[in-house]
Amino acid sequence: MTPSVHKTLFQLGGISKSFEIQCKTFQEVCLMVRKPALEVMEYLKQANYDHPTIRYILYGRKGTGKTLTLAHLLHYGFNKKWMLLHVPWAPNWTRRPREIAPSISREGRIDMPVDAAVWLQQFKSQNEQLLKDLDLRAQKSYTWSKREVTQEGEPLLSIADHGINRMKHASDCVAVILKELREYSQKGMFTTFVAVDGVNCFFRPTDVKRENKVIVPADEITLIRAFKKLLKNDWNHGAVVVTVDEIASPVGYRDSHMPKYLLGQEGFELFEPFIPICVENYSRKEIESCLDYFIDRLWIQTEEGRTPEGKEELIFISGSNPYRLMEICKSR
Amino acid sequence: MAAYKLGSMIDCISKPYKRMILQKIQVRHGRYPATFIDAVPKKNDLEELQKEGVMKELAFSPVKAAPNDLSSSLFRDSVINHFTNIVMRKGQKKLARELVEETFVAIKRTQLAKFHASSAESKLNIELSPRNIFHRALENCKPIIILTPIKRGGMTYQVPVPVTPKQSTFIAMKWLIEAGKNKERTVHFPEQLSKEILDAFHNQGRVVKQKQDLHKQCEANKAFAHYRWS
Repeated sequence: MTPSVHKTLFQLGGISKSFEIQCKTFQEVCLMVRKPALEVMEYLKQANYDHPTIRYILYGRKGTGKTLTLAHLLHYGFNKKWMLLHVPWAPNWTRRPREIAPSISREGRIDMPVDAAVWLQQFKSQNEQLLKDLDLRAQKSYTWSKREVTQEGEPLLSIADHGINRMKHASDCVAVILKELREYSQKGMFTTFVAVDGVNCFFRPTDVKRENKVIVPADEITLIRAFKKLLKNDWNHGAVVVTVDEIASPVGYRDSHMPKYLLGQEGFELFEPFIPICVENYSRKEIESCLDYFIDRLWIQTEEGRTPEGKEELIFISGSNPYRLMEICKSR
Repeated sequence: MAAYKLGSMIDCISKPYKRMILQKIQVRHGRYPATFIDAVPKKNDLEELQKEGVMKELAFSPVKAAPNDLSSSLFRDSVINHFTNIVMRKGQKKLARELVEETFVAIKRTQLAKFHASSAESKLNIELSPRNIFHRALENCKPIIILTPIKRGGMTYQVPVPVTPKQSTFIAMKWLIEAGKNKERTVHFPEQLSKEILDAFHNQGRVVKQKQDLHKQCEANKAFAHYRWS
């Protein structure tokens, strides 16, 4: 991945911090081409986009590479010039929102001004070229307040800019943009690629509390509500690729890594029917190739680490788990 | 025999009480009789012993119980293990090991950044292996002569005295760790320690200066050297 593409796509999230630091040390951003990503890419190529959107769920144990597979697919969508709607790590909205405010437009709902503004910046960064080329306009006029109005026919980029400048309206701007893009996509102007990392947190209790210390359910958060509408299959010319992660669920809901358990009843009913794609630990060939890559990048510095016996030991200790291998090879 | 039985009893007691009791045990009588040998975990070492012909005698010797931190891992380095033990506080071996590993990672990253930023000629001179850097840094920090307080005629003199290899290693490690702890609040210990180790590798920095100051003091106190025997 070239540095400019990496910055465009992932500047505001999408790749884990430890991997980013590793990329900086290796002086390049390289993802391994693995079976789950190739499988999804085949399906995306063969899909008939006049039919309702197909949902793909990436699942697997901790540290097997779900987020990086999603990043790979996002890069694929970017190359194909699809509209990217990417939530880098959904639990950031349910666990640590930077700011909470009661919604202006709807009573009882909760807005997240800073998080919404950050998402709009990311949306702009990822889709700037495409939006300019397509020149999409608002199909309705939206009144944000007494003096601020977006007229019908104004470019969608202006709504995004308005949301970034006026954070108070940012969540509503996000909801409007998602709605508009959905309608445009149904007309067949472009394909929309929706990517959410850790979607299972949308269907579980959140850590967000109102002023009276009552927990806010996920449905009452504007941002989450807007994205949930996109996850359904009642629209076409879109692809929804999503990961479910144990870590994304709150602490009491982490007994299994399987999609049906992590999504819960509500989530499962929303996603059914979906295509489940299992992301597993490294195969023999993959792990040997990964170790060779580390040796090439001068990461494995011990002489023992470069011998066949040393490699066997690393494979054994990591259990072929990609994340564990990365952690172990740091100190070898 | 009695010491051996006592030793096995102590293993069953919980840590706080164990510390209290062990403080009272006589240091001169170890828990194992002299015939017991240390465990040799690595295959390479075992093969070497075989070649030397020592295996015949060792094969029938009883072996001491292997310590918890002994493993047959190819990556185990006894010097680094010793260093980790000295870093450890309150028996938190896991934390100590993580800190030392993070230190080596920090050294590796600094050196790799330097390597990639330098020209093809100077690349050959940059040492990338954190272990080699640590070993060389340790060598550069080891004092060969230290001062001990000796009381003669009511006065305590700082007398220069030679130092055993083990003592010297320990002092060097202790100095490195203290230098690593001497930092700003926001800087992490592994980060600071990695800087100290890299400085010591280049024969610069606080720890090497401390060793050189000690040597200078020893030179200055040369006159008292005979107090060692009087």
